[in-house]
Amino acid sequence: MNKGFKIFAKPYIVWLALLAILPMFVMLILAFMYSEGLSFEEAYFTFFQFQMLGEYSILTAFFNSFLYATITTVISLVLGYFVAYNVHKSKFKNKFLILTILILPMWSNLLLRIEALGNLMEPNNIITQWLNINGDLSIKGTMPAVIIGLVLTYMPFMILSVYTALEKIDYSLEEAALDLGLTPMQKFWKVIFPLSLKGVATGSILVFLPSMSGFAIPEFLGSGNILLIGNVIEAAFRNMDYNLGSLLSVILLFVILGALIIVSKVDKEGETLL
Amino acid sequence: MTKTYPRATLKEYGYKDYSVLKKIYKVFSIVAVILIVIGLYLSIIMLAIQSVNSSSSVTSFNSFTLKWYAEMFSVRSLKTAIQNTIVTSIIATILATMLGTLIAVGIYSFEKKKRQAIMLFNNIPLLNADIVTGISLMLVFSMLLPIFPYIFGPTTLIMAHLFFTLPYVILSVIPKLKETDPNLMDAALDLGVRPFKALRKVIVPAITAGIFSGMLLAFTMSIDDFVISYYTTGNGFDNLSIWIYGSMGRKSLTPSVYAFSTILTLVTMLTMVGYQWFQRKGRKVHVKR
Amino acid sequence: MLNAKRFLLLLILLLIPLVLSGCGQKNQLLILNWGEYINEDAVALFEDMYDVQVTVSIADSNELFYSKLKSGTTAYDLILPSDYMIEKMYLKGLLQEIDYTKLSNYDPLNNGYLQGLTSIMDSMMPETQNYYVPYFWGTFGLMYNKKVDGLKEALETYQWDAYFNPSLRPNSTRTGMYDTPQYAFATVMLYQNLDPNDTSEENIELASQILKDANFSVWADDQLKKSIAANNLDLAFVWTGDFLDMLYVDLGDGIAYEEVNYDIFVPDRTVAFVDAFVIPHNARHVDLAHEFINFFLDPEIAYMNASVVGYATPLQSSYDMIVNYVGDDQWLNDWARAYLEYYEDTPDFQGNPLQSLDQAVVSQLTLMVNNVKTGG
Repeated sequence: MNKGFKIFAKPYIVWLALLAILPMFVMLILAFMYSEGLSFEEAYFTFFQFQMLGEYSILTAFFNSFLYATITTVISLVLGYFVAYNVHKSKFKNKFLILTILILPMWSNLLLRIEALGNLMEPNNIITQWLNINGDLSIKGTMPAVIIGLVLTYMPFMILSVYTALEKIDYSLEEAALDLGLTPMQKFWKVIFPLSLKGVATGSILVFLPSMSGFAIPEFLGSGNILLIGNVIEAAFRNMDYNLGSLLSVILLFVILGALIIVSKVDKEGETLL
Repeated sequence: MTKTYPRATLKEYGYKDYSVLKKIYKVFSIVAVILIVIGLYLSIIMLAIQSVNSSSSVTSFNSFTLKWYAEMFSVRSLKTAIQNTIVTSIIATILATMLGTLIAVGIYSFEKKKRQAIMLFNNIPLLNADIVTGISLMLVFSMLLPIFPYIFGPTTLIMAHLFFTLPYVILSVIPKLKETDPNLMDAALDLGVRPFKALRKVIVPAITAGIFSGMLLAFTMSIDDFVISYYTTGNGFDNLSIWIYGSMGRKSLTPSVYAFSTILTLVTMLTMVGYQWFQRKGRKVHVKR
Repeated sequence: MLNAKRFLLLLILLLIPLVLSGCGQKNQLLILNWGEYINEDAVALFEDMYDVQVTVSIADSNELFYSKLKSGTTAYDLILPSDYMIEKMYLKGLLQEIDYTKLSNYDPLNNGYLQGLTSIMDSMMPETQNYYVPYFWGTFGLMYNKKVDGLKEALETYQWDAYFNPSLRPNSTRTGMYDTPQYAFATVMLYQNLDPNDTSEENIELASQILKDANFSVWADDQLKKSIAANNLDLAFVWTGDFLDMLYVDLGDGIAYEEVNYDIFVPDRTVAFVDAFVIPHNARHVDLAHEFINFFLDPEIAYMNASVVGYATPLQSSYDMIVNYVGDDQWLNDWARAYLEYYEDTPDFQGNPLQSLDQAVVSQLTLMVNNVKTGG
């Protein structure tokens, strides 16, 4: 490509620097201060916020976030890979259509979908009325409810990533494996799966990060009882406690940076991020 | 007369006979995939049901009615919210697509190492938690308040949407750029075409698929965004998600919003199916020649 | 050539929203309000009368009101905070004084406020008197599901005890608490017969213990009333007005007054509040804001408003219009009945208004509630 086109990218670098990197520093500074909102009057430097890190609820929130995100990622991986593999192997002429069907739910508003799922999890809802069930499918407010919500929301990302990676595998490699006498099962584990690891890695990250940091899903499906780190941050900012919120956000950022580094090692130009 | 010899079974050859298991597995996988897809669509189906429920209660189904569809634009705040959402998303998507393509071309013109470094930073808006992005943007925009006191509103909202949709467009276009023949550009220049014209007439057609999928992704991400919009809008310019969040659990969450959501789903489904159908028709015509 | 064209197009696209946002300023009114807290028809009427565009933004807590006002991201013309938040906003210099000469409908003699409301207003800081105009007021109570046998009797006998002590109410009663730390803390204090505004260390400890023992299954805001009406929850601490909201809807759907399956119990010691109009210091359309306040001081409009919002109207004349209805309309009859039952016009109103708390204290309370939720 023409070297002259470089100029197109330069403004973007400035944009990224201003909007992505600058705030990180602002938050870092805020984390070390006590201020009311963003006004710097009556502000002073303090390590007070760090004391909060020892509080039970915040530690639990971090722990829960990691736990839930990990479980969600594992389940999404198993189910999502299954779906992606079957679509990849199938003889449909129009795989694009199938993928679109899978992405379609994402076009509906997230909050509405969560509310609909939440209503299904209550003991009294339209379906139970219709079928006249008197039993108790009420799992709302518990851990499985939140996990189901997270999985159903973010699995399409996993499916797409794995599918993209699978499609890139040269079919002749599979034929060669079969020729050399591998059974289909072995072919999968020794040839296909390793080659699709790029997709697995990016898909996992695309599921893990939002699951860990969202707040709408745990707030609604957990009936306010389940606190993930996203909920604590949101509550902090709502109560004008920018300092605590910034501190927690900075910690979250470190986790995300870690994920970024993994992505850049696995997939240098971010091809399978879509 | 030739004797027909019995065929040897796999077992006699020494292999294990998996054919029955294979059939079971095939059936099982089809059922499982269908179940998973149903799971993904569960909430959408519920929304569709609730949109034709004549009672606004979420527990009882009174009777089938289409009145919520008719009333969709009669609730003022909902109508404004829907309008704002569509306007924002369309503007943001168009800007993101055009700018994103140019920027992708620009990034691609860098050497490999620098390119990878830029792409690393490009991933930040994608991977960053919604809430952190939303708050960061709010902090940055707040710092501009002394200069532009009324900046919060459509301007900041569109900038925020641009912020997180540009990376998607760039990520869609760059792989396609890599697939194009590197000699195309040189050939065009050799033939005396000026660089920008060459860009427009040679490169862009080659990467159209990437631009298109980037545009789709940008629109998808933008139209459903909640957290980032929540923190970066102001001056009364609310979008649909914010309206829903403010009305969830209240009686003012009219089923008309379910109606809107269902319509959106149906429209996109029909567009996708229609697009596929047209594409196939086009191909058939080609073959006939 | 191409470059210039594209560039121009981009600039135009970018400028449109800027122009739009700067343009509509002349005839616009920006209001920050609670959800479903105003009659849309009344707003439409105002828009037609004065040829303006009114945009109502929604926030669902006083703290959010404050943070939106403080951050300055939006120049609202009117906000409707509660009593303690009005005091806090006043102390931080965020409000401007209301010019009563512009309020033609303000007539303390002929169009006065209800007695209960005046007693709440008296307990607020006297300096804030001229900075707000009451909009709605009311109390908090315990909304319960009538389908659970024995719950009503338990509440009447034990009042707050039945809410916090699982052993004093029917088994398997599902309880919910409001997800705002200051309210949660206040209810515990009332239960213990202490001052809900006394946030000393021991009190916070005590609250923490009691909340943990109470073991609420749901922490939410407006979901609580909806869940009780849907028979998914049995007992929750809600605003009386919230309960009446649900009641109005059910009555409007044709359900008979007695058949509604939920009710509210207002304990002797409870929280009372008033929500009022305030004008922020950076409001852009001050005159229009006054017109709007004036509009809602008209008894007819207040009556209209109160028919949609379940909270108590501030004006005596509107109140009289509601309770003195004699006629055939079932809904209007039920409305009169509800008002008489829940909003008595007596001078000895037993409500404790909340006071504004420091940000550090609020953070402490939030932390306490979070700890309770996570079981720590």
